[in-house]
Amino acid sequence: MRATAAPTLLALGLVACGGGSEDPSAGALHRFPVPGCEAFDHAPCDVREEACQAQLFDLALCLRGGGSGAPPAVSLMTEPEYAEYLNGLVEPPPQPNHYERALVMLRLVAAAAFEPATVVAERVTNVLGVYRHATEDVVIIDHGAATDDETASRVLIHEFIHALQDRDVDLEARDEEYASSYDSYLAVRALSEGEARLHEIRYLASLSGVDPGAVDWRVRFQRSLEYSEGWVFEQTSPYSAAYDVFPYQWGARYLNFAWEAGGFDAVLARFASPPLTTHTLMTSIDAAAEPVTPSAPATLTPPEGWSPFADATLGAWGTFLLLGQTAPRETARATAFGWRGDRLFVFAGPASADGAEPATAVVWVMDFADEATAAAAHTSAVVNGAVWITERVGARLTVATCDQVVDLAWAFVP
Amino acid sequence: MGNRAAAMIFSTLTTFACAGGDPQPETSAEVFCEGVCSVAVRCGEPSTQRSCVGFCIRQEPGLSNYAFDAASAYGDCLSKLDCVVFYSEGAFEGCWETARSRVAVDERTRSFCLEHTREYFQCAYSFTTQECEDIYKMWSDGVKERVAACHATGCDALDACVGDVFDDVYAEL
Repeated sequence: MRATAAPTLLALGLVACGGGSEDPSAGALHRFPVPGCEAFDHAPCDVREEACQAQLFDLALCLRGGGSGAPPAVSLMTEPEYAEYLNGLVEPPPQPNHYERALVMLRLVAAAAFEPATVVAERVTNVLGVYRHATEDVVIIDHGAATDDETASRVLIHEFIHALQDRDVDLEARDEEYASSYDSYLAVRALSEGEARLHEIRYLASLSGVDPGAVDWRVRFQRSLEYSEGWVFEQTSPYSAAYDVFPYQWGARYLNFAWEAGGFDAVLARFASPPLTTHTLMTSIDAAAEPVTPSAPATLTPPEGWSPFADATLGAWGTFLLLGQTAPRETARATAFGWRGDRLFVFAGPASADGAEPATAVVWVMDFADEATAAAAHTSAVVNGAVWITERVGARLTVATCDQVVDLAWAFVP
Repeated sequence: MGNRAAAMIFSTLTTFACAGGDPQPETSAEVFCEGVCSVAVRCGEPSTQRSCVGFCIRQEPGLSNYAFDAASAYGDCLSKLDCVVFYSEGAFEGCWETARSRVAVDERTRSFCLEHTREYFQCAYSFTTQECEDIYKMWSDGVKERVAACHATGCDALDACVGDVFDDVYAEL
């Protein structure tokens, strides 16, 4: 579970002045139980204690409305311990990392975004807890004062939902089956993270003293998503930052429709037939959207000496990240809704005799619903990148660039 | 909070002769002014308690923004201050916090915060009813009503609207 990119309260000064939650005059916070779970204790507790874990697991079972078994093992890691654990897992990328270079040229990540030190530092900062499929246990990351009982209890509910999901649907196998690209990875993860976030936030309402039965949940999940969208664009590596928010916020909004319609069974039905594109998640605004069948732009053949390095689909979300760099957010979003398929090709240039780094070329072929949408995307792309070569043919837009001066005409072969 | 208002009162304090008895304070302004004038007169302000209170009430109509219990506890804390402390930096802020620790949450605040916290929660802000009650128990029903009117503005404007209300409230003090 990742930390939410939450807005700060404008009236925070007032809240901070309020301080004194232990003030006897403030009285005990009255917690409204989540409807249907009135029999369960909603109070936050010390997650290191087994009794607390059992209490929250029972609550997680009730919140989810399905699942069974005993609570998984729970442990805590300090930030240094978690960093050490991650250092043992994160593999260094190939050097030179042409994929990273390509995304840097597209302004989707900052340099070194995929270096292990960057990845580990980001995770240590932002990860609050993790459910480990291999060992079927939960680890809560102890962020010191920030990890109070309320936060830790909320995180444990989230991770318990993952444990229950894993018992119903083998999460790792499902990811391997469906998540073949950036686009499908974010979409598929949106189910598991979305369900966990959905119930975590229902629990958060109770923790906050808000009556979960009185909340307009569609407003809540839409609003969280909007804040997260804005947050992503403030990051130096929006492509990477999306991992922290897209599956959670877009997934929660998406699964809330299923939850409202048919509870646990309807959610499980979504797991049986997961959305495979971020387009489906992004366009599920008032109800779950019907998926579009993405186009499959043909494989590009580079000139002699060049070799394919990566072949990815960034989806409507990636398109939005690209266009939203300069176009007004609303325009970029509307254009991304017209996404109908894409392929991003990254090529490594020939090795030079003088030992200089080989060139990196990136060609992103994007298909849209119609010519007008492609033209809108084209306009945004032209405004964005003076060094990019762009070409629109009908409803297809191609964006190409290279970190060395080379002829990229081959990228635009129809 | 209240510091600026109090400073203004004592920078312009003059003596007025007032007639009448000693009725119990009935308003936030009266009860606060009773407390603050008590210490001010004790500490050498050239005024009588009665004239000080009268001037204080007329000079600071914004005191009605305080909840009565908050104004009472605030004024009571001030009235008990040592003169050196009273004229020192932070005396009013300290008493405001002391008052906060003494004021109980009333039913109106409780019901307001149920609604207000829900609005904030729906708009994805992190804000608990306890935090809400701790803030709003100090403010009058009128302030709460002005804030409650912000609930109709929607999430985009909610926070700014509440901020504007408090800007006005502080300006009135």
